[in-house]
Amino acid sequence: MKNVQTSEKNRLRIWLFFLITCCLFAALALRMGWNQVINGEKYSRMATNQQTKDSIVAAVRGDIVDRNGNQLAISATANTIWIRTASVRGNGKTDAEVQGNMVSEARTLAALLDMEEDDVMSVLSSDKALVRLKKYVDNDTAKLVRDEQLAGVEIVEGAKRYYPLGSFASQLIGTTNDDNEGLTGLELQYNSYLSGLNGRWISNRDGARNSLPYGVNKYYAAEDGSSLQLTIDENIQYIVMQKISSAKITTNADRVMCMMMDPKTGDVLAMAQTGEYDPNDPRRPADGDENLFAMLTADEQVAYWNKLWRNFCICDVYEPGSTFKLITTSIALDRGVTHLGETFTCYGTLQVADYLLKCWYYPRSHGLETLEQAVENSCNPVMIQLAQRLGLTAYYEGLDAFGLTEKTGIDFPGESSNILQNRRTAGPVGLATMSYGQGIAVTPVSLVTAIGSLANGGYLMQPRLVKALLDPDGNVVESYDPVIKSRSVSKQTAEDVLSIMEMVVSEGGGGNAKVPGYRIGGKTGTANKPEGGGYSDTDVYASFIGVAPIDDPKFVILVIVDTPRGVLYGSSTAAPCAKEIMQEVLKYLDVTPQYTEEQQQAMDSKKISVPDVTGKSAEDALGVLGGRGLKGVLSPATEVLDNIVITDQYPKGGAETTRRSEVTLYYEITEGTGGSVGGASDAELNSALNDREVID
Amino acid sequence: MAKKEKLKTKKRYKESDFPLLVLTLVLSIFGIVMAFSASYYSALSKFGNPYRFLRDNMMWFILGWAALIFFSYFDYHRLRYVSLIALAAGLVLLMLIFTPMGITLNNATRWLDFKLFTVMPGEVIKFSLILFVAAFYSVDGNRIRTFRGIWPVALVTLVVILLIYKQPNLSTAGIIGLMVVGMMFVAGLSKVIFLGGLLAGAGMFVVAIMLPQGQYMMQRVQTAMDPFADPLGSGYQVVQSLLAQGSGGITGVGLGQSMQKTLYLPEPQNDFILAIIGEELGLAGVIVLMLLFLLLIWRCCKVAVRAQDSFGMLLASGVAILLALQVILNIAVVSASFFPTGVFLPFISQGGNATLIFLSLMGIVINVSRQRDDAPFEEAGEAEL
Repeated sequence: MKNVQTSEKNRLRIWLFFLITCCLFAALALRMGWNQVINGEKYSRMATNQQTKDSIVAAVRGDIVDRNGNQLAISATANTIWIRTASVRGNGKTDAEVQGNMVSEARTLAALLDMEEDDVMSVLSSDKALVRLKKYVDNDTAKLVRDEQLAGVEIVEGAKRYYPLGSFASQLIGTTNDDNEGLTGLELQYNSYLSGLNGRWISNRDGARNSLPYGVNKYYAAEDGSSLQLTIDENIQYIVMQKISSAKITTNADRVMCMMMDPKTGDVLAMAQTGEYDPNDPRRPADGDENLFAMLTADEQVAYWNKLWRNFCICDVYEPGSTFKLITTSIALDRGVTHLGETFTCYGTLQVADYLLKCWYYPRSHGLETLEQAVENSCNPVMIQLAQRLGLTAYYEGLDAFGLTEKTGIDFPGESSNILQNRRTAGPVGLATMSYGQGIAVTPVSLVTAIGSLANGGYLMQPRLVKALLDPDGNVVESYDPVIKSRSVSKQTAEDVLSIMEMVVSEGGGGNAKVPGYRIGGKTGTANKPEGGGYSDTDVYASFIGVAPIDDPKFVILVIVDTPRGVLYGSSTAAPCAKEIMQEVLKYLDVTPQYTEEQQQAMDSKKISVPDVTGKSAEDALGVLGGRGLKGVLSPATEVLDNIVITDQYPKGGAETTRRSEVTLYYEITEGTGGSVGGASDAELNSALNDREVID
Repeated sequence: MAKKEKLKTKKRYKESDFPLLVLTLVLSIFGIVMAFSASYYSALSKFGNPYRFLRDNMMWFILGWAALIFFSYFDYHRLRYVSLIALAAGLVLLMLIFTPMGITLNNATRWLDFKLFTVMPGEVIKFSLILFVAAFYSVDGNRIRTFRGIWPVALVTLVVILLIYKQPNLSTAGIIGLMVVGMMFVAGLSKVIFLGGLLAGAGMFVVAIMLPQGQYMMQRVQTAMDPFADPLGSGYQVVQSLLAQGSGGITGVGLGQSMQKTLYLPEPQNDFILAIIGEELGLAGVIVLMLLFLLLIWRCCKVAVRAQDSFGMLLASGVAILLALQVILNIAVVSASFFPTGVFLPFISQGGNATLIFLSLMGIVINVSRQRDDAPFEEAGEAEL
């Protein structure tokens, strides 16, 4: 075959083709430049975003331990099991196969996770993309689930707060939310210390999200949270919890609260209230409330929880009643307007400005009585006289010194302010009523702190809940020293008031708090609860505040019985509870009992001499009898809160009887206001008391 | 006698076009390196063996270069006699696709299963058609200007295109169509018919994507407009390609350092390998590579222009046109300038049939160059070989 020669046209067209190729190459080079340089930064950032995994390395939340290192709150690893439903739906070639696989997967998961098969099935067939199947799965179970290699099952490791003791000081310790951040209580107050600092892990991942052996790989370790060492003593707290819950039953009360503090350091040893919730499941309503709770609206449920989680001893105020007379007496003694042994006369009434204020004993009167006896008798006119001698300014300065006019500043969120008479508008009536604990409301922690200063030679301590911060190994990172806030009264005054308190317990109405072998001081109080604009007739706060032992105070205790039914008085509701607590706590603290000869005899002999309690208030009479191991029974029984004075008793005073036998008490009702029972019968007085101030 | 003539023929050979040889060698070695780099991670992840693709590539490289050397010594004039056989074989292979021998992957049947190896009839037919068209028009310089000189080629090409479109493989069909039209243009096709043919091709393309079978093509066209509209669906590959290019910037992240090849860009060693080159070697690497290709095409054109006769000229220009089409379309797809369609980058993309075919074609061009028609090199050539 002959070879056809190429023509000039062929050659030209080849070069034309090459020219077009060059142009297209140039255009494409520009396009590549556009992608790589002009848009390069944008694309590069997007690429980095998808290639880099920035994962949080969760810090371990610190533990909460009691003063002896017992664990109250710990962090445990917990796994959450998620279902990616698309993978479940794609598990099989036909619908029937998918359905079959789903059923067997549901069966496996239900068995492993201890769930109902139907519940698992409904999650697997959910139309959402990613559904949580179960929270808080322990590591062993999670491993079993992982080993099954089921379709669409994803296991995410996380931390869970765990409270090993369950319902234990829950209003104090508080709870955390799902993100492991403090929600209430100390968990909230110390959240920044407990939570630690989350770390980060920035690393390159391939398209299947596996980490790459090259590229960026930066690991910033998490800084685990510090542990809190509380001032709370687990054993004391436990004793308190047991005793207040049995007191709640015996007094038929709505609830019972108790707080104990070491007066020398301000350390809160126990803080408890009945109706604790389980912080492991904080949103579960209290027993018996389930049906009620189910009917609440969302807002009401939140309100319910807030009430459930509220720590009464710090966040609420109550009417202290006669226990406040200790404060009035202390200020008066300290300012030198009276002295131990000074004699007063009670006429049953006292004219203050336009009001005739009555002693609870009215129409009787206490007559001649020493200061000590006046406190023991809970005599209102004497308290009024002391306050009048001091005057408004000095009285308030005294309250300032006791730290009662401001918040204590305890390390707890949501501390409430005391409600006192307005300093500028109180006037003589306000001052007078306040002197015997009427028309005011205080937080338990502020009263305990104030009384605690009497047990600490007049030094007012800063109340506190946390002793130290510990590292994860339990070593002390930072230790907090006790802080003296101020001086409330002189050492002498403190000793004098303690001696009066001791007398109230050993001879007066605090008798039910007597613990054989120990010198106990205290004072009971019963105050009507506010209701509407005035005060309730039937609902009271019955309380007892005590110091033990008097010669070397280990603790101050305050027991508050909220709305007891049956017997209302602090002497027969709060004091016996306090006695039981003190008895066990003193034993636990290894305080050696020292019995007086009289006590020794009383303990040895089976016969007991009945004391004469006629002329005493019901509250005092019940207390005195209780102090001798006898039980007073009012006849006829009454539930109405009135000022009652004992007119007769059986057996009579001086008669011999056996331990634990009953003494029947006959009584008449007096007309006075306040007293050991702080009722205000006078409507006008009530309105005068309405102008109270909230101390910020 | 035959042996003597063969020796005589061989004796007449000038030296090979040296730049062409070097460029082909450089490109195919560069391709092996880059395909290895691009496939390393995914081969490790999927098969547990990072050298899996390298091994295959080495085999095709050796086979291809054996073919190149063979064809560079094989007098291209003899190809005239095999061109019809090659065409017939190509067509048979294309039709075998519709037998159970066809391997379907990703909804397309483009491969034939020969148990020991697989064959892509779409690549083989490129080779066949270059031979056929070159042979057909080099018989008579005026054939191109007659109707009888056009319809056989047009018919064969349309049959081929239709068969390939049925696979479906629109990009190969398009490249083959353009390649044949390009060769006819070089052969001397009248401008009117040339432009008419291009318009007809464009029209066919539009019809093709409108047909129900072409629905996925339509989607691809939309993806080309805005790949970021569906970055996890149809736009995924192009988006990942762009991210790789952007990551590379001007100078690149370094050989072997690509992140996008770690299971982000699917099959990084195949059609989108340029994106990985852009990431690892930067815009600089891409421009150098493009210049190498341009030089190679230029050398092919040069060989075509200097060819001894029309057959050699059409063979070389056919190879030049095919190369240019492959490279331009590939870069257009990778750079999101054209809708995503499977066009490999010659010598660079992970090898297979294509490596063998392209190196064979280069061998033919080298043989054409050795029988070139330029006096100045005659003596030197004779002295050397």
